[in-house]
Amino acid sequence: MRNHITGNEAVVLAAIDAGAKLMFGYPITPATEILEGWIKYANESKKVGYIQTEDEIAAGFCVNGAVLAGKIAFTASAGPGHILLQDSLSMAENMRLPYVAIVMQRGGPSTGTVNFSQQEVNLAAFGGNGDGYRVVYSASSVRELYDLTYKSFQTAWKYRFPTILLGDGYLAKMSTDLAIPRKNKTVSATKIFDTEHPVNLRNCFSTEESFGEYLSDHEAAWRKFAPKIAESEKFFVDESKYLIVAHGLVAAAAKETIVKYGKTDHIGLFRPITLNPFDQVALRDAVVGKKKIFVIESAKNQLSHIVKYALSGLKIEIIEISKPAQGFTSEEIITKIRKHNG
Amino acid sequence: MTKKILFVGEGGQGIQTIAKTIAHAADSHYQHSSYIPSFGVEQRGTPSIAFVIVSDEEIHYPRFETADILVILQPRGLNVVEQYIDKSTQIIFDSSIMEPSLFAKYRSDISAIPATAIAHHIGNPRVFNVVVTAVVARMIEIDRIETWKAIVLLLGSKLKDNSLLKQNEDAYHSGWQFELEKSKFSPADFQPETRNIIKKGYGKKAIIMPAKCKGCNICISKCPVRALSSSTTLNAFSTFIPEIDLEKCVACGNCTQFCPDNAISVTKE
Amino acid sequence: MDKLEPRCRKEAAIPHLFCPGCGHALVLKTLGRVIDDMKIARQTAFGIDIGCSLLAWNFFDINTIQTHHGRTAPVMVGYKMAEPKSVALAYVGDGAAYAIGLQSIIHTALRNEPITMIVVNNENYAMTGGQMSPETETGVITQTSPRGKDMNLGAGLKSPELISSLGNEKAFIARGSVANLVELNKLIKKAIENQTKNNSFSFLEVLSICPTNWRTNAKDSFSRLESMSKYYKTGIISETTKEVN
Repeated sequence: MRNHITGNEAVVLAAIDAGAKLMFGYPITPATEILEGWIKYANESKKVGYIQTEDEIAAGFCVNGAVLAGKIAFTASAGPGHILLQDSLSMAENMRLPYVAIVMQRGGPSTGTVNFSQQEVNLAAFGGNGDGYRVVYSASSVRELYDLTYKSFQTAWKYRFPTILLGDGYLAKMSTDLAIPRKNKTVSATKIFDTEHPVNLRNCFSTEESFGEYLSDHEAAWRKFAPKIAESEKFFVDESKYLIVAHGLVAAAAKETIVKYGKTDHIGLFRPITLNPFDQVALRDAVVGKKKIFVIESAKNQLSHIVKYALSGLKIEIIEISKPAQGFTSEEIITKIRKHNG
Repeated sequence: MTKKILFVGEGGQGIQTIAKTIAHAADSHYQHSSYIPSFGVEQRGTPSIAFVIVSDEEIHYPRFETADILVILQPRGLNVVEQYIDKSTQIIFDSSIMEPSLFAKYRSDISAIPATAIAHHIGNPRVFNVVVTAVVARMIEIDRIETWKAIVLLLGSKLKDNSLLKQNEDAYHSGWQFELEKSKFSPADFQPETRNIIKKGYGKKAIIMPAKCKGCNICISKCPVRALSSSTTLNAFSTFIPEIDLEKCVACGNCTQFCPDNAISVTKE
Repeated sequence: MDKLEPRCRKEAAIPHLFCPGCGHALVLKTLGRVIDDMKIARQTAFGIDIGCSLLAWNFFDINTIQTHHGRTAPVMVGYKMAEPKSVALAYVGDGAAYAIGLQSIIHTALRNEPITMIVVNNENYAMTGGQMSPETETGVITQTSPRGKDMNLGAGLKSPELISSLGNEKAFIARGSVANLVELNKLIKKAIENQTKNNSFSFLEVLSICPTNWRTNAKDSFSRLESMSKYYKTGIISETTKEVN
């Protein structure tokens, strides 16, 4: 009998392997199993802690508190809970706290569906008030949920930007029998509150000028580190004439399309792994010589406006194929592309 | 004709009232006016700044880069508003609390009125902002009666008391008819005291610290024998520090205990 | 730094920026003394909220974090869980604690999270200009109750009593006042000890004055405080009678 692992379980394993010590969460489909899995591990190993908080607002702020002590901490949520995380994320953006959140996208707005969507991209990448910076990864497989969860902790603690990993309900609940190589090194974490040299941290400023200066420091850090963080994958890009741009599980379906029809229909895939910072340099390079770009997402105009911004100034036809909160099969993708190509 | 006026003083001095009054009364001479405060989180203890624009053209944006007129009523605010000064700016300052040398480096036209001294003379330091309002109103040629009406409207219930009303009227009159000082400036006698005041006698030692005192008068209210009273010495926040009669004092410790600023202590020697 | 200031005071932030006569300054002065006496400055983490409490961001030479509105309790809960040997203090105003932050305080108390909360109650949202808060008593005029707080909006919320009704027997729950700083000192000490010795939750409300928004002089501020304490009774409301492990 093969050992199966679900997406949510992979997240828990990665958090453990990264050296996370605390999880704060609230039950919400389709991320609840992350909280439950963590609690099971906590009770069995007695090495880590958790709180099931009164809501996601508290969960996010508990993360902000825990990281001050140099302890790796995270939360996991979805949909309406993701909205509630924006308050704590904003604080983490302003104060450069190593906050990690795993978000399993579901259909919104409001309660919506509990299953699947790619509709939380805007919220994840740009949901704060003010010009804050946060890193957003998008996983396209169960294995990537493990790898990118681990990477989220690394990125957050190394570069001090709050980091979100986006998955979705299908990825969260699907199980795979593929073995996932485990990491055997924990992420290094340092204290922000030092007893020998106390710090006074605030996020409220009296004058616009002093705040502007403070924000300029953040911007400088982002400019410096963004090129190191931005990541993407090219799948049969060089030999193609038509380029699909898709992320997450939709990209996985697109890969299947390319495996079947790539040669006949000359299509390749550019898959952003980070949605923010977006790997603009790589995309601008990938579109050279391409006849058309197809941006495919299970949302309306969320990935596509990031793509269009990244490609601004270039003369290239961009076609948006969107199905808010509904997935694509590989057959559907090729049908739609062929329809556009006549 | 457009005039861009920047007001700066201490929080609690009534700067916003001056600015609002000017903006309200301006329609006696200008087509349009706008007012916006510049504010941070603190209610007191940081500079209070207001931007007023009076114009015959429509005003789109309430702030500006350079002030035509800068009314500065506390030296602490100077470094915050420096960016709005150039040599075309007319600077008006309170000569009873600031030295003209503060402004030498700007090469701007300066004039002054000893508003704090005038208000003091009238018997109520708080009416100083009405003195200043009159000066500014006259300077930009808005109507004397309209401006007084605006003052009455904005100060509202604060003027219900007849003696307060008279003091404000006197202040307004003084300000309106005052010939602005252009060279022979009044001495800056109303400077805040910065050094600690130490008093000894009757077996007691009292220390009062004007650099920390905010003039809240809690110590005065908590003294069981009325040994403390308000003085005429200014602290850094433009209010008055207490003074102590050591003969009456019984060194009960109330003032030391209840001072929110740790600005007073009385001990037995 | 002169001897009148607590040793844990941050010299660079003298004078502080609280209004003349502000009750916060009296509470912080007392808290500073307790921290000095208990010798806990090094391990204390001081969380503050939005509102006038944020003016304490650089008051002490102690690790301090200003959080978002109503979120100080969860931040300090998370910190304490990550650093159990610390003394985690959450210092907030009545607006922050009893409106937007009430949900978190109730659950923090219910779970007996070992943090110490100090809520400074001056019956209004002071920093935003004096709007009514859940603590404003009926009939009181504020910026958002220009005709006096409507009776239909209910009497002021008696929060320590509310928290006591949750049934956490290990909690220390009390109400003090800036009218009696000697008593306040004792209450703060007990509140902190309930965390350090009993690893349990403490909640201390402190009746305070706001001369700026109450538009009162020194004498009248304390008179109003006196009348507040007729409705919001001071004293220990709940405490554990034995040491808990």
